[in-house]
Amino acid sequence: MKREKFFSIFWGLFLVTLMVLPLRAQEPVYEALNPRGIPPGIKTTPLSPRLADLRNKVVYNINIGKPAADLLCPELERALKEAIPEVNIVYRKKQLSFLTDEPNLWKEVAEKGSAAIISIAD
Amino acid sequence: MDSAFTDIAQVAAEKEGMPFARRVIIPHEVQEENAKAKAKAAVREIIDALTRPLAEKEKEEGVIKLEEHARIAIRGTLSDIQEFFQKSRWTDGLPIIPPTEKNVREMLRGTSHSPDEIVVEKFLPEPWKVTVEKVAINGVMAGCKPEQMPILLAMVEALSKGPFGASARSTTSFTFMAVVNGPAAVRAGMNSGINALGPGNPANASVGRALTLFLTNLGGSWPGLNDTSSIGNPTKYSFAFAENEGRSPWDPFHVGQGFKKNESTVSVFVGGWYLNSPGWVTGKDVLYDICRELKYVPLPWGATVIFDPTTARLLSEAGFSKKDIQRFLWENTTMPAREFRKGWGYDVLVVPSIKGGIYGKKTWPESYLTASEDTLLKVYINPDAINILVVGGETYLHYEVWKMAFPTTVSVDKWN
Repeated sequence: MKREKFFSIFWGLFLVTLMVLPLRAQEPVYEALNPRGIPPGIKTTPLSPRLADLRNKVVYNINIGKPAADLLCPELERALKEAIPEVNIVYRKKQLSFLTDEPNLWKEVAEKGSAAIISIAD
Repeated sequence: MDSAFTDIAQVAAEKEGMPFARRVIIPHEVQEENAKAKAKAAVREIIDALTRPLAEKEKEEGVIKLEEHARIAIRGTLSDIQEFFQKSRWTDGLPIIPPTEKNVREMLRGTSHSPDEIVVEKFLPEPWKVTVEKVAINGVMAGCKPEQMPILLAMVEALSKGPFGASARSTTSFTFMAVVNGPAAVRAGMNSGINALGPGNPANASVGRALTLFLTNLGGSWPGLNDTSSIGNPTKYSFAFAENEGRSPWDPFHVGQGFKKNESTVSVFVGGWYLNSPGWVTGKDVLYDICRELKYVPLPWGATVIFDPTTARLLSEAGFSKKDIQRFLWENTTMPAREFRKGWGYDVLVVPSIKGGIYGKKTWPESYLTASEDTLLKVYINPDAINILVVGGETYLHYEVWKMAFPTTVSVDKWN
């Protein structure tokens, strides 16, 4: 009896599936093309080796010209000095604005600095 | 780094080839009363970022592909496609027309250029390559028709030539406006009359929408992720229209940009805020009203005054050419130096642009930096910084002042 009940449920489900599948299959399938621009391969640059510690090192504290960095940079300098009194901090603000590149500044950091903090705050 | 820039900084770091650049995030927003506490809270993390030895991935050198780029994005039912595009952030939030092979092929009939031709080698903000087919795909999604295809290609070219890259993601909610001139506007079915800047015309709506999709999909600028517009701007959905050349008393805008009257062009402007639109005044009175409004356009590198044809004709009948109006507005839009210096962005953007130029444009004279507080300064750089357009349906003596500057005009005809 149990066996008959099992088979009747099985055949019932099978028939329902057969009825539903064609309905699903009727819905057309499309291929949509990718709208995104084609990204180039990007050459990666490794990070500079880290310093063992910051004592007696020159750390540039750079303000890129976003307004709130005027408030943040002096406080960062104070906090860093408080944490590591022997650190030498050089503050620089970009001469024009955050919209313009200043290669001379980056050159100076590379030549004279041991590390740099670049602050972006709005 | 201020937390407002977390996502955009990651995208920028990847673009510059340093996806693992170390960052310390400081909760937005830094103010006088909290700067000290925020700096103190961050200093340990900063020291750690400067001294913790590099992990292997941070030492890696080579070429990375930011993503796999398959031509077919998805195979599925219409609702599968809608869902996939929405989840992928490839839309403006509204349903799209699926860019199927058939739809895109149809759109490509609108240009003689090959689908593989490169329109722009590096579209901004991301330096992604854009082909004719990519423009067509986004055009289909926006609901454009083949006759609008040359305008779309020209719009991509204009966006890549103008100083627009940084604006697309600014926290300030900048937006872009596209103005079509010449026979192409008529062929494309664009509206220059009643409600030209509003909804109702399929060509205006879809061409403007395509511009937004270009910034998203060709420029990699995702609203809410790396497009960090703080409040946003409703004109970001769609902002394109044609100039009402037939009813204007003056030469069309593109003639002033160096094109012939019978040429077709698209001009893309950047800016975003609409100031005022009173009516019922004519002649010099209307111009003085406009001067009052032009004064308060933030970052007055440029602005655009849109006249209804009726207002334009009354001014013309009063003897004003377009050049006369630009000069009048420039000469009479003045404010004391003290007020000029209190304007938004004065220290951060205006002063640097006087000292060294931003966007490569000549700006205000250096005397603006030293003028006494009471000296009356002309707010705009020169008469040409005030753009004049004639648009509208002559149902009202109307004008609108828009903060829309740096028009970049390119030929549509070359993309036919």
